[in-house]
Amino acid sequence: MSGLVHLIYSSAATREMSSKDLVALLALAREKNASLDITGMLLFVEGSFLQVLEGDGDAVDALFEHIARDDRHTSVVTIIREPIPRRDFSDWSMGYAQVSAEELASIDGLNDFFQGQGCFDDLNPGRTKKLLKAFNSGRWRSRVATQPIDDQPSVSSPQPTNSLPTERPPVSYAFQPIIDLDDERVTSHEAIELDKTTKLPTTVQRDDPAARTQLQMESHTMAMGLAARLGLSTGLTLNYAVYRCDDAERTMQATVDAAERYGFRPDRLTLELDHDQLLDDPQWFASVLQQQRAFGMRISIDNFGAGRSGHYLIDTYKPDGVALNEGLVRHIETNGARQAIVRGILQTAEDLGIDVVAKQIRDQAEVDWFRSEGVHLFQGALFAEPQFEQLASEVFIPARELT
Amino acid sequence: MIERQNDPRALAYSFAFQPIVDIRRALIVSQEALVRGPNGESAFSVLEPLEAPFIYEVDEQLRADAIRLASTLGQPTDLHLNLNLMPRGLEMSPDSIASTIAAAADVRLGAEAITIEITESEIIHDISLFVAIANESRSAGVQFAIDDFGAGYAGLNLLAEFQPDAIKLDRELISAIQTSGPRQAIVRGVQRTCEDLGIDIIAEGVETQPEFDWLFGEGIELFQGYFFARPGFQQLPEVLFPLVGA
Ligand SMILES: Cc1cc2nc3c(=O)[nH]c(=O)nc-3n(C[C@H](O)[C@H](O)[C@H](O)COP(=O)(O)O)c2cc1C
Repeated sequence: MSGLVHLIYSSAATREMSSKDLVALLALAREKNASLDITGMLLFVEGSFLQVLEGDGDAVDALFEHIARDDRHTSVVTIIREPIPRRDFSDWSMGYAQVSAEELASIDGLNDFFQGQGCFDDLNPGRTKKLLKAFNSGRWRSRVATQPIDDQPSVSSPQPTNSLPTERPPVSYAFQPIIDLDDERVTSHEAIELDKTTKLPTTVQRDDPAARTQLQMESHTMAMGLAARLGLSTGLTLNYAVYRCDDAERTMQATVDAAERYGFRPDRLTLELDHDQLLDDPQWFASVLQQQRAFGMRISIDNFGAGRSGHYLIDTYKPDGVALNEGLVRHIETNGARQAIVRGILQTAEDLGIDVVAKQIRDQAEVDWFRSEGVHLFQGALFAEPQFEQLASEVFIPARELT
Repeated sequence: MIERQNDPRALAYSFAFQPIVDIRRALIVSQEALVRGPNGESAFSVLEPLEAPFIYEVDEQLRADAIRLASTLGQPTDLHLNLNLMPRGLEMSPDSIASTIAAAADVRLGAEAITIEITESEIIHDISLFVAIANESRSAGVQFAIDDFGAGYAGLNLLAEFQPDAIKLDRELISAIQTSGPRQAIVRGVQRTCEDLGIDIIAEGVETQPEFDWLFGEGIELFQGYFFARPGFQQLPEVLFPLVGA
């Protein structure tokens, strides 16, 4: 025994399910569930399934893995799996309800939901009840999307040249494009600092703020110099590790000076703030940033949602963009918790007109999920790897979905 | 040199309780136990002189004592308590929550009557250990709430690892929310996430009518703050419920 858990997932039916099909599915499921001591419920609304499985942790996981492979449904998203003190559906080897959208909406509190097997109001006021409510209000419904067409155009960036910078040996830059899939265009290149010999990310001396400031000022200058030499025609995204307020103004000035020297108008620059610690005086730093915004420079928050990079930053900096990284994007198509978090971020971003970039994208399935939620800015190996001291020559643009 | 305390028994303290209310049902759903000095002095005055690892021992003892005091003030049948926990203490004493459940059982309070609150700032230290222990206590029926949510100490990512039963919106987010677009947008986003994950939202630190009106208007139903009831020293305060439209 590994303890009692429930697992709740949603999915989309891949074909029309007649009542007969469903009855057959359920008869088999009930028999098997009873033998596994698994209880729960299955809801089928206009092509979407929501299922609750309760039982011993290992048994539930094994059954879920089995069900997830069933080709009668797809887009299987685990919403939650957690230990529970007791079952919500102890009497039902698989409670079942099929309801139309109107019925679902018209039933206040989903009464008589289970067609005589029990009723919604009998449920413990825990997670299951809340999630059923969410489903009732339209959440977690997935439908099978139209298949995308099959040709995959690509766009070209300006040709790279091979003239390399000669200044300051230990570090140099790779460039990785950020793509707008709405108009299939590279909007910006992010300059990623790498060790010149190992070509791996550099490790900065975090304990010496003065050296770090110096390094940061030099690195922005270098990145812009290199980008200018490579003939960059898109925007340029520079990382800014935020760690001490009193250096902010100096660093910013160095960046502005370098931009002028290399002919970058401020509106081509995005400063991407990476917060690995809390600032002593964020309001002051925010005011420094606002001055640059006034000239057209864009402010973005990297790694949003991770570590110290939380909501308060939106309130403090009023950024133009936020970037979502690994921790939120990876396999989001099957991870309900990540989906819920990202939907919340998108809601906030939409209300405030903040751009959202999905970064570190590796799979088409990740892109598809973000596209279906309206995200159009992307970066990641799927589109183009970072190129050391070069601009990407080719960018993969996935096929556009039919709408 | 300052003498540091190292015997939990020698410490002098007591508790205040502050209700968490469900506005729609006009019910007190829980009382949060807040440590105070023996004469109602601030929590800071009690906790500030304490150092790790001693403070974690005290933390565990505080929960047991809060339960005992509360049980003398209210009927066990309708008592529910929110108790604070420093997650880092779990690294030294993984049985810390189990011992709280035992203390509750001593006064005939079930594990379901206990919500453990952890602050966002503390939780991130060892998330996998925390989740493992929290899940064990969940099997017993204990609930979890994340305090100070949105304050920026832990990422939203936290919710990908651990889905609490409730989050308490950080005071900073709520203060004068009726006038701040960004804060409103943030709260709407958090609501969206929490609704999708079946997590309750508690608005804490609510002090004014306009704050309450905005939050209630957006569908938030669980509240805590001076606007409803101040913490009551050694008592379970009553609440004057604001009238809300039917
Ligand atoms: C939406 C959906 C829900 C299902 N739920 C269950 C279930 O609760 N229990 C179960 O045994 N099979 C369930 N199945 C069917 C399984 O995927 C599988 O067909 C069944 O367990 C028989 O597998 P077997 O032929 O390998 O024994 C479900 C299928 C779908 C599409």
